[in-house]
Amino acid sequence: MSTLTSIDDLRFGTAVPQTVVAEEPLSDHALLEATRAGDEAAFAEIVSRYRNQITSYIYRMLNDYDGAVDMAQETFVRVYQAAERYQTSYAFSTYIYRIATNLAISELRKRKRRRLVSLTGFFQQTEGAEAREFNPPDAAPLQDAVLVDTERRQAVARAISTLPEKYRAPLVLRDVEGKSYDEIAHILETSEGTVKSRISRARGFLRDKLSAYL
Amino acid sequence: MNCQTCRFEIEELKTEERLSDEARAHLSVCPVCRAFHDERQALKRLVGSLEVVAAPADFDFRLRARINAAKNAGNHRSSWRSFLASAPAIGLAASFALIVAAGVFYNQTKPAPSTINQQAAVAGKSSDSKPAQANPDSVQTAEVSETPQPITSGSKQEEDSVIATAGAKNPRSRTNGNSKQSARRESSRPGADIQQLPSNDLAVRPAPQIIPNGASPFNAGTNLVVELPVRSASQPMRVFVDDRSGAKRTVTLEPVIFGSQDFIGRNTSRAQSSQGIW
Repeated sequence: MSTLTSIDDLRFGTAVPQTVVAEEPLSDHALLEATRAGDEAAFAEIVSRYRNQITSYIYRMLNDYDGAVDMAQETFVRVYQAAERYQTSYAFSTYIYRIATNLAISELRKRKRRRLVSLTGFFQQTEGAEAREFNPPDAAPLQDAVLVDTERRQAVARAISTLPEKYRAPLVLRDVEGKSYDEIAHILETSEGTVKSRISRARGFLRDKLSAYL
Repeated sequence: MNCQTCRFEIEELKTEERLSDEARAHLSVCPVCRAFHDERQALKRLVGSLEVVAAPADFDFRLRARINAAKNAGNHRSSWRSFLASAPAIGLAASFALIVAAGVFYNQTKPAPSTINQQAAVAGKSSDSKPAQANPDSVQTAEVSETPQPITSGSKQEEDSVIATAGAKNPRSRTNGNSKQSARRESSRPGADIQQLPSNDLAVRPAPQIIPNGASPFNAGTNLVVELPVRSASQPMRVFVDDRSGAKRTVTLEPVIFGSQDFIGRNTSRAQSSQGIW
């Protein structure tokens, strides 16, 4: 783990020798072992593997791109700083998703405390309350299919962002990220039955909010 | 298969997965579960249609800068801790200096014990409305007795008791009626503050009787002026005058205050005097 000496050092893998040039891609565990040994390129490989997944996952949780990028970077900083303490008892993806989930939930709670005024605020509601449609779908058919698709995605994203956080994370992990119930249970540090129950409940909320698109 | 089991399977089903044969057979005969299946599958497709959001192009660049910033912050913290750990003598010296400073500050700010005792003595005297005249040896205040008895001018007991009663710092006042000038010189001599008697001396030693020289002023109808040289004190002083003919008088002497007593917190000013002797 070298120190920063020039602006070029800010690019992963350029100021340090490329040690990860094996034919077969190294496992996440091996990359983290190399990171622990001071190999910056190994950590750069980890970042390149997970940056889009983590950014997208946190974006679905926060529905805020800048905040998602910030939280994703914080996730990698935590991984880097905790590389010495990392234990290979379960998959690295579970480990990094757990960090990302905790950060996202902490950020959601902070925002709730600060009562930030945002576009998602129009959809914010208490658990079990009825959703308020900010931009209901227009009954008239649109000519541009791209616009329809974009509008639908935005409506889905907003509907997800209105879910309570304990329902939001398992639903995104399952239906957006495609994780298994077992992996979600490990990420959220809860039981598999709880995960299934929460996902089912979350789908029930979404069905009510997105009935116009179903 | 019943509806509940079928719905559990539908819930756990991914969009690309197929239901079991039993579940499909149940859906063919149960329109409610079939509607539930269609709805859930449509919902999963809708949610799954959300595209993966890509990280920005400068993600790695910013992440590297952030990691270096965090690393530097950690180094600063660790260097400060290591400095403290490597220099215990500095910490020890700083602690010692703090303790000494706290002690000096405490000594300068707390009231002097003699002042407290003097206040207590004055309070005790003020509560005692009748001075002990029957036994002059037990009188604890200065007493000027206008009797023709001869006195020993400038006796040591007289000097000490007067000063102790007044709470002044000069133990060398002279009360000799024939040496008023010398008494004034003594009272104004800067080097006279040699010894300060504790005020509780009066609790174990009687107050003096100061007897003026010469004949009694009451015998010949003369108007004798008795001058009692006392030092200005920060404590109030009461003088009991007894002419031995039944006429007694109590004179309360107000301390001379220039304001410094208030400033240093050792004041016994009128504002704080609760004895009501003014």
